[in-house]
Amino acid sequence: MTHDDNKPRRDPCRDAAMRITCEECAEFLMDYLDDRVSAEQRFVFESHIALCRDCEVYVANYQHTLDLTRELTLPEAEVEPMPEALARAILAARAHEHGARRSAPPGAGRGD
Amino acid sequence: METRATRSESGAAAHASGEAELLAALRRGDEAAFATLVATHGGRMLAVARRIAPSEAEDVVQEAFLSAFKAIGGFDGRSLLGTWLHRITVDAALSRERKRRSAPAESIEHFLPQFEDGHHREQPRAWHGVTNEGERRVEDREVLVRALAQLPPEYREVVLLRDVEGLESKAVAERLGISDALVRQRLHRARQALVKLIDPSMGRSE
Repeated sequence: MTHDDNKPRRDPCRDAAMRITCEECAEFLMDYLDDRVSAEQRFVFESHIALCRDCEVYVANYQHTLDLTRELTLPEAEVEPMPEALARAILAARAHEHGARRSAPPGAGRGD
Repeated sequence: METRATRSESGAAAHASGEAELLAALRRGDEAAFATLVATHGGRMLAVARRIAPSEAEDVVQEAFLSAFKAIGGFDGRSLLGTWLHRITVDAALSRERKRRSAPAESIEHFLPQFEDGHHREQPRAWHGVTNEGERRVEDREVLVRALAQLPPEYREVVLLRDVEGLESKAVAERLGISDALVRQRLHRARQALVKLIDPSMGRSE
């Protein structure tokens, strides 16, 4: 943790920042981003981030990774049409299964 | 005058009526209806399957459609057909991925950040990409997709369902048959692992 040691000792933000380690900060990060923390926990977390460059960078990288992941949700425009060969194979498989069920003697099959 | 709202409502009504007609035709066993269903939803289902089980995506889609055809009589119509098919596809893809796991459970530990006396063992480095747009961002997403493929499957499936598909964590827990707490634990670890995996490919900000 890269703290600025010139800060006054009684600074409440600094006191709060020192109440958690970088490891705890990283562990706590998802709950913080999901707003599952109390006002006091939020204050402690944000105080730590404000004073710790390592954690500030880590939080930004984590958030960026999450943003990129969420962007993998497919926009409609990026969906390609169904390949015709695959569509034909599926319909043929259905016809085959359907035909097999219809031609099966009564009581045969799995009852579907 | 027709407003945007009324146009939208009439569009939704037409869509709902189209869905109802298609569903009725499917239940009658109308061959053309099955072809319409495959043509309409197949592309999206294939894209979803490619994200989860890239090497078996076409098999997944075929299996999903065949399951859907058999289950169409029990489909209650409370959700849209597309939503229902999406769920079947994700389940089929996840099931394939689970079967493919022949190796013992992989560990995610070596992808997690390391600490010493509570401090980062290695100083995290700021990425260029936090505000980037355009081509560079597309490349970053490709890097992320490759990283996702490296995650142990039980971690990858949680990220896919929660962060990519956008399900609530409780819904992910129900889908996977695990607790909500375990979903959240896996999700956080998976995201941390992704941070580490993509780090070498992310340019540095000055």
